Amino acid sequence: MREFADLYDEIDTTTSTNLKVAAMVRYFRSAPPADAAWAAYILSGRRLKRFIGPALLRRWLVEASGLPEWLVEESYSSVGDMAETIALLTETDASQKTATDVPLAEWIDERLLPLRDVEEPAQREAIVGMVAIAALSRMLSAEQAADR
Amino acid sequence: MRVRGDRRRRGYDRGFVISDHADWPGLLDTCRATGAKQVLLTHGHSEALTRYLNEQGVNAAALETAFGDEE
Repeated sequence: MREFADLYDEIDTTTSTNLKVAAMVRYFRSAPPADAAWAAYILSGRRLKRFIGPALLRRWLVEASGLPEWLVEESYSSVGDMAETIALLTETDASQKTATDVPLAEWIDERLLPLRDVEEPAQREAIVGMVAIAALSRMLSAEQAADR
Repeated sequence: MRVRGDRRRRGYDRGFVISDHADWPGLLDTCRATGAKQVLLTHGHSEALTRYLNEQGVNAAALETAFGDEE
């Protein structure tokens, strides 16, 4: 998923349409077909259907962060996006923009989509674990980068 | 500038955090480190910090001053 995360960063850090398009061309030229298909799905603004919604994510964020619910609400209203609020509130001090090596398609097909068919506690455990792993891996790779 | 919406609304490519202000964890650490029993907040997101500190057992309140948000 590293390549997709890099693509997202490239698209997000320019206001130039030409540069955004160039970044997408580069990505889609080299991405494996399964990853490219999901990337096109996500970049065209579509969401996973029948999947865990923002209300549940918000509740788990409150539980996992240990922050009062009103403070999470306050953060959300200032950020304006639940995914970004979660990312900001779960970031660690040493975190850097480093994604995992697991391919995008594997993340979605094998880790996320199967969560549709499990009960809420198992969904919660999996998602909270993923967020914790993401924060940890960012921290570890930042440490490795600092050692170099 | 860490918040994407703030960058987008102003049409910036990138945002950098350059500030001589403490952030949320920094303010809380400082309050804790001083051991202050009472904290008065002069500007910024005083309402949220006042409420949070009070919930953490520190007597906090906003203090009206002539500070603006950019100072």
